[in-house]
Amino acid sequence: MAKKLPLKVKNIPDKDFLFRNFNLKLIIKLRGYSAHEVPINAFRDEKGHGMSTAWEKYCSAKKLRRLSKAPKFNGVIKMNVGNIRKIPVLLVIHKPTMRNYGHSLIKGFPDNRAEKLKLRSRLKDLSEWVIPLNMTLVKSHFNI
Amino acid sequence: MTETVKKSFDFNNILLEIERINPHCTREESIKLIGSHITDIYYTKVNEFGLKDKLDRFARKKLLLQRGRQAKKAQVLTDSKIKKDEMITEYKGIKSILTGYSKTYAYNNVYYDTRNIDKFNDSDSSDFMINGESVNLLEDKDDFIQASFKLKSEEDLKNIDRETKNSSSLIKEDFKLDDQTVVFEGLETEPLFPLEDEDFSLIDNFDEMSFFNNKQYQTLKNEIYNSREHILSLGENWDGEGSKAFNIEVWRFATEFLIKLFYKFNDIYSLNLEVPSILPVGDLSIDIHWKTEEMELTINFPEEFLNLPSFYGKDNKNNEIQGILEIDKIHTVIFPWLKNFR
Repeated sequence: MAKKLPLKVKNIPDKDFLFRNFNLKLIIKLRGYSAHEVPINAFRDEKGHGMSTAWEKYCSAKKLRRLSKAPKFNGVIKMNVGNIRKIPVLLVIHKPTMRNYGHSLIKGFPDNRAEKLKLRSRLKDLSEWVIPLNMTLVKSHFNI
Repeated sequence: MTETVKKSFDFNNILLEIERINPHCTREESIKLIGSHITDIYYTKVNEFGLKDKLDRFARKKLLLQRGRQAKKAQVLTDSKIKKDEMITEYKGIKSILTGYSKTYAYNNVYYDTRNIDKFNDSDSSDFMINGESVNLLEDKDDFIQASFKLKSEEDLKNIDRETKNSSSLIKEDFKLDDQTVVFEGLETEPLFPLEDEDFSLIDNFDEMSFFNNKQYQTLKNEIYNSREHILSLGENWDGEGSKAFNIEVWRFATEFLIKLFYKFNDIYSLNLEVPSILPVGDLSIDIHWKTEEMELTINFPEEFLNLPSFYGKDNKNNEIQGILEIDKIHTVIFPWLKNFR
């Protein structure tokens, strides 16, 4: 039986971007948001393992969307790696998988719930939509 | 002497001379004879000066030069073809961006009745339904969004495309989207799902609070109705990845808290609070989220700690508040904060 070789882990430079899938079903009427802003509920520490993202060098936004279980209900947002690393507690790690070599994790979400909220708010500020290009598209998704 | 030499090389004179010497020889025979002599002399001289080799070398050199020229020409042709292909690819990219933008803008100008959104469907053929017609967000192979949908007015889309093409810059950052606040036209205030008794009483009690001015009251009521429909629509496996359904009790707890907050704020300051957004979060908690130009404040209600919500707020001047407080005490911290921005 062929032995599975470990995938090579690379260092993600600060100038690169990370994509993240965001389920559009979570979008509801957003008061005070401009068209290009990402809502605060787009970020969460999944099962405490870090937030799943994809390195743009190896995975396009469209590919990432296609990799999700329900592509048609997923939007994609992007974040600059340098900006994420400016938040002291966060780490950006390349964690390739056989399915997606660009798979990366944002780690370091604090256990304190208030701190977690703060982090979500900061991540929201440095993110922008890729698919769809702005929030007005999303309004047609729900009865709002 | 010169004239004699000239005469001797005159072909007609030579022929006449030959005919004179050989009167029985015809003109044709004379010409053949001269021809054979000239050929003999030519070959003799060619062999004598080694002209054959020289001519071969010249021919070879000429051939090499010709090949070199052809190779250069071919290189230029290939380069131009590659350049042309690149330009075509670039053009296609720009075109797809423009199409994406024009259609994005088209969304802003067109009203959709989206009440009848299709339930979750695994088929890749459509993204969701608008006006009973499927909408594909990504039909094209490009990485950019390709929204394909039927507009109410095709002419609108053409105009937008034309305007976008005429734009001086093709860089997407140059498009000014900042001033486009999200406007939800055709707001449906009636709930899609029947309210349970408990929710009726919740909102009926709220109805009795006549001190709210009508507009603010109506907005909050709509927000609560809409968020309820939304939370209920997120049933088992709402994300297609096996997630649990949202717990309506969490929503009920959060909205009850919100109504009490409104009441208390009005009671203390005689002012109405801004209506927040009620957002479901992927970890099945509920956010109550205020966002204005000056500040933002989020209160998060997790399923496990309903009585101990966490909150975080920040303003334009980098002032922050955050913490975890009992639900009965949280207003002592957030009211002064919210009052500053009224």
